[in-house]
Amino acid sequence: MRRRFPVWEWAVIGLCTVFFAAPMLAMARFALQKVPVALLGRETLFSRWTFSGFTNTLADESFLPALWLSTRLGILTVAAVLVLMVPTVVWLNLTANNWRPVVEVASTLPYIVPPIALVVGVSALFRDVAPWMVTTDYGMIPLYSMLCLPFTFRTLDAGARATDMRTLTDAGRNLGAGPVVILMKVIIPGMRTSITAAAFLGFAVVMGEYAIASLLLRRTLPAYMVEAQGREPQGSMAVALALLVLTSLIFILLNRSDRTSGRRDTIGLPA
Amino acid sequence: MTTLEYGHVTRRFGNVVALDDFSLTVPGGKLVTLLGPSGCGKTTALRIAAGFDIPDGGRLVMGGHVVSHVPPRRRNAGMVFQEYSLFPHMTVAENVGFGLRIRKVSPATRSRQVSEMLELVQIGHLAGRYPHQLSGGQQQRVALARALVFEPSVLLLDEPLSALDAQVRTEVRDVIRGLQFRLGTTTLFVTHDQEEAISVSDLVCVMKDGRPHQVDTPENVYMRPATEFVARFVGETIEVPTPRGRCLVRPENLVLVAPEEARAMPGVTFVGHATSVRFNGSTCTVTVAVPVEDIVLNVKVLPHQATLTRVHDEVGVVATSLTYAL
Repeated sequence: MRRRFPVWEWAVIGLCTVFFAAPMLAMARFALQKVPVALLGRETLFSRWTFSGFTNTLADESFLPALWLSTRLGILTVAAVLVLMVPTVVWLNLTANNWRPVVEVASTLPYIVPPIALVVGVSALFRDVAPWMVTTDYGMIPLYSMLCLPFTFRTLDAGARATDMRTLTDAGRNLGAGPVVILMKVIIPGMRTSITAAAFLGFAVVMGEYAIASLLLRRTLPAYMVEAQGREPQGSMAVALALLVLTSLIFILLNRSDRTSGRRDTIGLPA
Repeated sequence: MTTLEYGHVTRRFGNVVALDDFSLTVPGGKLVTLLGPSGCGKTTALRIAAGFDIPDGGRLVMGGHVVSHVPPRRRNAGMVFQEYSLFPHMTVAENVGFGLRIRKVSPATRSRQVSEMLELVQIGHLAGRYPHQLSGGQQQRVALARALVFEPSVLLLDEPLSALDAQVRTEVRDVIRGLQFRLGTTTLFVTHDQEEAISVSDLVCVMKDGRPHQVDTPENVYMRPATEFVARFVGETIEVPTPRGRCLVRPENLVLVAPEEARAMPGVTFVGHATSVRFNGSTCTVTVAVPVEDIVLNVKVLPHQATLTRVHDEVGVVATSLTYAL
């Protein structure tokens, strides 16, 4: 039987595309056209496109230090989160399934606790015990790690559940491997896709986090961009757009590399 | 060759007794099957042999050494799992070579042994593939190669054929039996499929409620069951009245004869009417209702014999041998 044209499915896809694409197109026009906002219309669609806002921002001496700080914080946060969460997820899936509700609730804390409460709480608590938490850039890593938990925990857990971890572990033990070898050679490679996705999500969270950086007076990339918006709104928007495109490209590349690496997908990413 | 012995092993899960004073000896080089319904404790017995479970009481002896508390990685037991359990990120060759790599076998020797083993299970041409690129039967052959390549003292098979379709199941079953016979590895095979158990084993241990009901050769288990449970669980049986009380008889031990012949013959005979004739492929089943005894007999006959019988015909049935006296 011939299937009728799926009108509703395409209507939903079309609506979603417009919902996401329209603001980005508007963003691109604002950032890359040297036309006053009031005149941005159909008749000016092709006039005065330029990268000058973008290049001006790149040339700003404060931009690269802010980008570098955010990148460092992103890498270190991802490392901290993976070191903490991969063994936790393995432990939950292998032996401590009854602890899952506790970890799930803990991982949603960043949704419940607002950044201001987090920063004030941490400052009050650690000012005397561990002053570096408040005074250095790296003090933000534990806070950012917390912020990443909802995304990283769920992604890693989905990956762990998709692999039959219990039987694979039994197979590894039976073949003579100890716990460390099983973790490093059997479990972690089996969860590679979900670990990569979790790392990417964690990095994206750090690269976009503004509230905590602003409250702690750190000049990360988002903090710089908010500040630059007053001086060079188009340049700031162009950088935001570039980051968005870069993020999307990385996401697509990750998916493609997983699809072509000759193995089954282990998390919910479409492959 | 390594002997595996369970000595009065007990294992409880809460109030459930999975193994109850379970004793069994798997002689060196033999293939012994644990056969029983779901929940009879056969998988628990296998997991204890592998070291994944520790008995609450009793002991497990492998090659003369008590190994009840020895961790799995130190037991040198190869295991094939029901769900294949191949490492998805490794190729076939890497999967098979994993146990050798753990044992620090040099790459050259490892490569040679892996190739030899893959040839033995007839999948040498698939060495570079990933598990998800293989069929179920091929995956199970890889699992078998992986379990045997490091020359384990004992091979443990946990329902390795249950996820396969009928034709592939027979092929893999023959590969398992052929390899076990050739390598002489002491093997414990768990299954709930009686036909599988009877066709591959040197000895069959029929289990129920965590205890062995009979440990014997497949022929004896089938033809001379020790208990009513074994008689009813292994193969088909029909309960019939005899001059010495009720007995269980196998359908293939019932023979169709002319009614007069049945009336004239001594022994266990019946006269009734054919109620259906069913074609099963290589055999036919003639169902005979015997009103005097109030029983229904399913008699297996060859197709050409079945053509002589029509529904409502009066027929005689003779039991050539009785399987178990109740």
